[in-house]
Amino acid sequence: MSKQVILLCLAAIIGVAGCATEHASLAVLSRNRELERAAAERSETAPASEKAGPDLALFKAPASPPVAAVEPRKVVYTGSFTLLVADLKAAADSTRRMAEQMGGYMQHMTGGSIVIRVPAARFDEAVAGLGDIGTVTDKEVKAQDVTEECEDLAIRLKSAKALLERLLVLLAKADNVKDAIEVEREVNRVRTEIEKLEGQINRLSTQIAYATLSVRFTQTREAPRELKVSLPFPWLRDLGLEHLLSIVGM
Amino acid sequence: MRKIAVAVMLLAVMGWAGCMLHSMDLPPDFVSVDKGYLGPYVVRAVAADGVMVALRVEPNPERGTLAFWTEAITNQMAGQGYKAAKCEDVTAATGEAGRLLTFSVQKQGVAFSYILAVFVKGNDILIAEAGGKAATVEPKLAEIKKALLTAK
Repeated sequence: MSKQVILLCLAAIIGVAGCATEHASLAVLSRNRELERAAAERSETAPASEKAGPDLALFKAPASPPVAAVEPRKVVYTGSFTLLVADLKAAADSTRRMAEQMGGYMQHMTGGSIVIRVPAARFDEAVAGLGDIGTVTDKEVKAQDVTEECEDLAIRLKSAKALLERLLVLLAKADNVKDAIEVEREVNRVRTEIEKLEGQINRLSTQIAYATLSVRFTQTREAPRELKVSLPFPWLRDLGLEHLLSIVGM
Repeated sequence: MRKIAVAVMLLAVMGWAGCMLHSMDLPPDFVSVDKGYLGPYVVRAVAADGVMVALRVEPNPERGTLAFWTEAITNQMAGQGYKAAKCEDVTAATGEAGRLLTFSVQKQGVAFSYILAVFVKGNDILIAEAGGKAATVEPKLAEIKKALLTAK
């Protein structure tokens, strides 16, 4: 009888513990979903530059992070694609229009390729859109986590600004020209450093906010090529400016 | 031992003579490059703005005619995207009949000129070349053509 009671108690304890664990898992899942939802909402409502915005104020922090416990990673998305298309120009134009419709822009375009930037939050949508423009024959997508780099830059900027403040106080207190010049020189150096860091932060912020998609087009029906005759005199193939100007560049 | 020494000296003299066999005058303000930069050319010179002139000598064992090599070179250049602008009959300073071929080509949006003078001299084909950005070649064109015709 007492064995049965002990077994019943044990079963009850295991049951409660299991339930508690499940509760904890569900809570974590629910919190994650909440975070994802909040991030998605931010990405839809925030201006393009703030989409995929990391929490560091310098890297365009979201206005009010709902849960401060988990900070989103700062990621730079890039992708390279090769598309088989019937009309190179039409495909390039469609790709450019798609980028513009998504709030992005065309960065570079040549006859057979284009580089577009789209808001990071719409990266997947853009990748899917390319599939509508042509047949994707080659695809490489990269997500580079730059969180630590962002944090490092932010810390360095904060330190540089603090140093600048201290130097300005010193400058105000300098009682002779020599000291003043020395402090002034240091102030200039720190200011330059601050500008450099701010530039890096801005560049990185843009890279985070906008994903880069490089697309190369190949034509489905190749234009008829003229049959080339290759004579058995190798030196003929060495003629031309490439060889002649090889030591000065073109 | 003595015979070997004589043979080596003879070879050296022949080699030197071979190098000296072919040459061309340079246009004004062109400077010859060091041996390390000669490549397949027997003469190679550059102007300060990057325009180059060079002379190469290729074998002509089957005695191809001037017409044959002119056409072969023109076709080859066309295959590389060069546009034939002019083909003139010319005479080298040595009296040899030749052709002066002028090509134009666009590289990364910049217009380039490429000029060749072709002479067939027995078992050799002499090809004097000049080229550079069209804007820098143009002011020197007369002097360059004059120099190309001194190939020998």
